[in-house]
Amino acid sequence: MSEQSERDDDAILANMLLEAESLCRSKDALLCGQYRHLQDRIRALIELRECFQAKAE
Amino acid sequence: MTFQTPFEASPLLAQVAGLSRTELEKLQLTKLRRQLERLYTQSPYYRARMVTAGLKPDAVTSLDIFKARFPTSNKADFLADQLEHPPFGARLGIARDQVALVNMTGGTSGQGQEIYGRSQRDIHMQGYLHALPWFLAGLRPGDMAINCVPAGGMTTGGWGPGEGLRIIGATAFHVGGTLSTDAKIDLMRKLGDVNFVYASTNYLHTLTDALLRRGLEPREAFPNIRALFIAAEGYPIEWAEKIEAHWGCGLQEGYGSTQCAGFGGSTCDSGVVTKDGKRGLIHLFEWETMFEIVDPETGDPTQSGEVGEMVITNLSIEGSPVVRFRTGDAARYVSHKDSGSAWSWNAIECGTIGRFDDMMKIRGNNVWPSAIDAAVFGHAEVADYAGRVFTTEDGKTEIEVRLALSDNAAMTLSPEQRQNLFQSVRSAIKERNNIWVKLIEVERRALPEFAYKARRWTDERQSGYRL
Repeated sequence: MSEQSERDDDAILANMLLEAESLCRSKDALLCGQYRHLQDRIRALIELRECFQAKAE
Repeated sequence: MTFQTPFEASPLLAQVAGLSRTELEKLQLTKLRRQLERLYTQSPYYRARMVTAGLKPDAVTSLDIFKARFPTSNKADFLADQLEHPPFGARLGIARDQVALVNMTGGTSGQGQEIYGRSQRDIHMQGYLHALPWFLAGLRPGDMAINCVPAGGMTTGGWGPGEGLRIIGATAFHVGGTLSTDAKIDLMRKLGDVNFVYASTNYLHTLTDALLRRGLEPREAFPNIRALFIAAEGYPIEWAEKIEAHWGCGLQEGYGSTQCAGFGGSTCDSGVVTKDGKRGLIHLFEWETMFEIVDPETGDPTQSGEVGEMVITNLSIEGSPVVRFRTGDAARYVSHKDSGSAWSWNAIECGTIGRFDDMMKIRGNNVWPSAIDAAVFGHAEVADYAGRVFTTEDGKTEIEVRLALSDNAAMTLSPEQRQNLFQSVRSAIKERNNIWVKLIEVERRALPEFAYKARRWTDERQSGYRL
């Protein structure tokens, strides 16, 4: 995968995290836990991709 | 903060609760057609059934057409399909490399295990179909939940609860199968702030009995308990009332299976016993799973109030979905019109779900183990029992019930009281099942313990037919 697409992935995930954070403000308690589950999956993906950033730096 | 009802706490649920029957069935038809169109192109098994029936997805313009013309499947059909197209069968319906979780049925029928391949999307849905009834029962994000059902392994019942508790955001302790009952109690006491317990009916009985034997009243040991949730087995009303009194909270029940990919319905927050002491209702989540309750002989729809066989269709599962699957489960159907609820969801009576195929034909009577459970456990002095049907040397059918008393009853009952109790148990069994049984008192430890579904009956009649 090219460096460009890796940066795209980071941008997409960062954007998804913002969107997920927005979902987590839902007033629906049944959905809220599921949104937080989604948000934390995205956070984990962002974190495990830090290796790419280390290489770029 | 005031505790909100499920419908106050979730606009999504409030929306579902407000659907008219027409709106609900319209939603079902939309999801059903989407499922059938997908399966027509991606599942050779279901495509063949549609071709045989001359029923392409676009011809399914109503639920009535689907119910009248789409062929049913059963366990034997799935096992034959798996044998011909191992391991998942041609019914899989998703690409093989999309299978992220394999679930199998328990194999207790002795016929073989069905295999189900679930996608990542299905794993969330299986979690949701556990989270949904528990949320309805009162479980909320951050609550402390004790899962007494053995986790992991090959079954949906092993994986679904973990995913359900995770996505609902509860703090889960999966103690089933890993700790002894006493060790579970020690852990629960250490945690103190337990809000929710999920267990099989049989195991909740074992857990409660063990607490009481240790001199612990559950409602005092766990004052923040909000709900108990059971599944898998029948029970008498008297038992349920005592459980609620001991724990100081509502007892809720769900109907679920691997074929449902979780729970297909639950008592929501209404409890398993109504205010006037009658059995409660399991309200079916018909917007996720379609249910028909039919006469097992004719396949005709069962009338409200009658017992029929559950036939199910997954509307929200893509990997190994079931379409008009005959479960063999026997349930008393209650139309939404007779449910006393404002919801448009049909229902089944709770506490009495049995199997058509575990019915024993004894001396010409149809006997379900669940009916004997109800007769025996209607007596609070009884801790547990095991039964066997066998053939005597002179060729007669006999029924023996080995019965253990609770510690307290075993210590305090006089010989006369014991005799009266045994006579009462025998009469209750006779009344409900039309059979007389031979009762033998044994010590509690002489009976097997069950971590999940109890298997209290053995049928040894065939081994008695020896020359």
